[in-house]
Amino acid sequence: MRERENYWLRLRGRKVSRRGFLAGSGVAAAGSAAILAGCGDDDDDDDSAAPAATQAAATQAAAQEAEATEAAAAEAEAEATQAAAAAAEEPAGGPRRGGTYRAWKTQEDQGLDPAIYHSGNGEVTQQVYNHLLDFQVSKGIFSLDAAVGYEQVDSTTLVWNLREGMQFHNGEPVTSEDVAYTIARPPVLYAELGSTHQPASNFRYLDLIEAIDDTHVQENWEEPRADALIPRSRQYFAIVNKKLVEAQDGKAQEHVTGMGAGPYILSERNAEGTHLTRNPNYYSHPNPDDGFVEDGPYIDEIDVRIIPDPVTAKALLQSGDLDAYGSLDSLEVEEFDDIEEVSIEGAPAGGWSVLGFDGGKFRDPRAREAIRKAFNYAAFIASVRAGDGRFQAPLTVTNTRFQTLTQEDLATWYVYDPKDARALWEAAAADADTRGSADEKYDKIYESVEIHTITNPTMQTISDFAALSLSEALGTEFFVTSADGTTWVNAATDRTDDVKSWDLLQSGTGIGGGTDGTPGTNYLSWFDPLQYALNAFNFHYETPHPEVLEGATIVGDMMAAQNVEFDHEARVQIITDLQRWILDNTWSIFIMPMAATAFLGVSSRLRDYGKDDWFNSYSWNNVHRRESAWLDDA
Amino acid sequence: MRNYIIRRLVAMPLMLLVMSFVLFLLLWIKPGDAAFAVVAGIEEARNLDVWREELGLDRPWYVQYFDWLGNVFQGDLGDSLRPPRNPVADKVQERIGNTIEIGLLTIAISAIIGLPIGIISAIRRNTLSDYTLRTATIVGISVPNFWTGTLIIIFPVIWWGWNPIQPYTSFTEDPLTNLSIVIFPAAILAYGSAAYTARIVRSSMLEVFFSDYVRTARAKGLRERVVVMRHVFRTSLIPVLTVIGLQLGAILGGAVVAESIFAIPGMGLLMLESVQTEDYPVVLTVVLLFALMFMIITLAVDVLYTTVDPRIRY
Repeated sequence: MRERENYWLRLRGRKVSRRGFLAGSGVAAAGSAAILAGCGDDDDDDDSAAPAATQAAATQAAAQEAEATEAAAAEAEAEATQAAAAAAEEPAGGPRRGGTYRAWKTQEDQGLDPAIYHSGNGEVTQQVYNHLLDFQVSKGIFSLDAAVGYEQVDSTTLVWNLREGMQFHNGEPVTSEDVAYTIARPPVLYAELGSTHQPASNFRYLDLIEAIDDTHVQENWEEPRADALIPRSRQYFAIVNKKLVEAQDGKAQEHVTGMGAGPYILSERNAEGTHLTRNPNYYSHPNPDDGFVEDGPYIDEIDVRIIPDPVTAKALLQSGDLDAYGSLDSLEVEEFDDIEEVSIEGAPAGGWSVLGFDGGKFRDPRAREAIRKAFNYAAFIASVRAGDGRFQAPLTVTNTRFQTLTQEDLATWYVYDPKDARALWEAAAADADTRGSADEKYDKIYESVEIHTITNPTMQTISDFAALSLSEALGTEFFVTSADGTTWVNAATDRTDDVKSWDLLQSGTGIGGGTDGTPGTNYLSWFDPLQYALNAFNFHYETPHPEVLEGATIVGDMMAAQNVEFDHEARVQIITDLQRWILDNTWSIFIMPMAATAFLGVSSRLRDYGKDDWFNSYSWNNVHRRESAWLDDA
Repeated sequence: MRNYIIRRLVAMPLMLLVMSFVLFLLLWIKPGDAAFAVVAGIEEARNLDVWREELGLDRPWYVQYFDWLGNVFQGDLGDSLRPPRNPVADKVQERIGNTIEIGLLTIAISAIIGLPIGIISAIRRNTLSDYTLRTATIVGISVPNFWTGTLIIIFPVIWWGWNPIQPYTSFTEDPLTNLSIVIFPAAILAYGSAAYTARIVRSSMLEVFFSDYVRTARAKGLRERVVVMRHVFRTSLIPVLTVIGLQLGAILGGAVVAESIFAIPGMGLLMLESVQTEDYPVVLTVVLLFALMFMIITLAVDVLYTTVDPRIRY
């Protein structure tokens, strides 16, 4: 977005230079002469109009030439000065400063408080605010941002050492009180209003957060929490200005300049999008960790336009009017074959596509195992994934820090065996028959199975494939229903009964998407009896089915055990054991193969933007916080 | 005539009232509510109750409806349910001009293209030019505007590396840039609309062409141009006016698609977003405004009948 200015005022207030006046007069004179000549008597022999026109044209040409010469000289001089300045401060071929990074999102944000809302506000929570750390998921490393160090004093005490000299956008210093307030705020807000993303269990362990001096903040927890560090790099713990947020009753919905201390200032936000301008007082990162530079960021402005239609956004990338489109599927990649302005990068895909079980009906492990064995993996990868697919694990395979299961390991669980599947399904159905009508609502799946999905082409294709594959193998009708996202969420979370309105809930496309690296919240939360397994899938402690309760207790205990294990190797072992148990029991959800490669469409001018983590949780709205990013034509 | 207009004007608020009631009921019956859209995930469903209370959605539907209605009567359209809960009036004010501009431009382009095509087609009936123009109108009617819109974006990019989408600039900021942005969605909406107009003009004119008074006009020795424009075209304008008036509804509906494709922040886009997030104060306001505009246009068309055909009296 450009600087807003009223056209009429601009027109009224426009200054006319002497040369401009001469040129304009010349044009006017020439035009008038031509008109006069044209309107005159055709038979008139008086040719005085012609010299007048010629003279006027000559005047105009002279004025234009003078203007052009002078402008060219001025431009050349300015360019030379600029080039000299650039040469003085930047190494040849290295990062350039300046320019506007152009991104897009499909709709307006649903609020700007980083601790409460998350939909559509990623560019603000990641760029207008700063964080203690930045976690590079692909590398499994922490980069220091607002903190210059931290110490896990014991299993329930964490001390942060803060960077000095940080300022909010209004010039006020970032104090240890602000940071302590930032960490203490999400649990309070959660208790009041509920979080939109992080479940209660991710905040409940926090007890007393206090500033112990000007540069140190101490976190005291009610119980050990091995997962604490990674979330400190997420939007919930974006550092806020205590004074300004308290003035809004502890919420940061109405953004006021000075609420954040991040690399960019929110300069505009309206129905057309958001515009961020580089923070001139942004703090330096001496000896920067990965993703940061000493005097970043290099890019001056970030423009995020609202473009509801992805086709339009793709066209804008193709014409060089956008710098990032985001995830492309393998067929879309071909559309960019001859376009120099666009660079297509392949990166390991995250995300997943699952069929969630209703634990009220799929309480018999044989029924769940039958689903796993009735799914034709090879055909799915060949058709839906266009030959480029791989198996997904309960904890995503892209989480390199915690994942030990290989594709070979996973292949031992994901075996297509329709004969065995049918036998398991029929055995479970036979037992259901003996239970009679008392358990009818729990046993209806053996007559027909409803797969419920979102009205989305990819998700419907996945569901249709699943329905076909499972129907053929199990001899029971599997059919697909779909709804808009809101209705789907409503159906998924409805807990008015101990069975769901659907039987299998299809979720996710398995293309793009990623992990923020926190095992407790990413992916494993789908099995956790306190998280998704409670709210969506009926695999929780309140279940009326003893076999489900037994499993929920095992999963819950292992989740709790990995949460309190600070030794990384020991924690990874617990997580691996947990994954094996989940796969053995096809627990809570059935995971279908994901895309192996995700393709990212970015403009060719964008450099060092952190490709490998693009599909992880940092790049919402196609804006990825990486201060080393720069634009080649800036 | 004056009584007729007054009757119609009095009926408008009543119709809007009934519409608002039906619309509210439909929104209420639909599964889910704005709290889901706010939470936007399937985590901790229990907190929805807290959000419902915060948004006032925990009250009985009739309380919500009459509360909203009472505020509307006092000139307060309420606040959007989506954070940061801006006043609905502000949202509408920010966008209504853009949609009206596209609508007016669409009608203008549609008339400029549709009327001459219809006239030429009627005058040169069953000739090559008639067949060609009729084929073009059938294409215009058959092809959905979202498809045309998408092609208009995609093909220039493929051929010339250029696309018609620019960052939106309002008319007051820069009229020329604004027109260069809105001309494309308006042209796309106008294409279908002009096709309808052309076909109606053609068939209406053909009906009149062989009537006695037209034969008499020719027998008087009037030039063919005068016969066509004064005696045939004017008489056949009544159904054309009706169609143009009715097309406004289609244009307003089409604005949802056109604004989405061309990323123009208008009422159509606002309605789409609000329906998706079940933001009922915004949905009600936008739909009722569209309805009001439609009612005013149809009233204007009815009044215009009397000008076009003096025989018509109310």
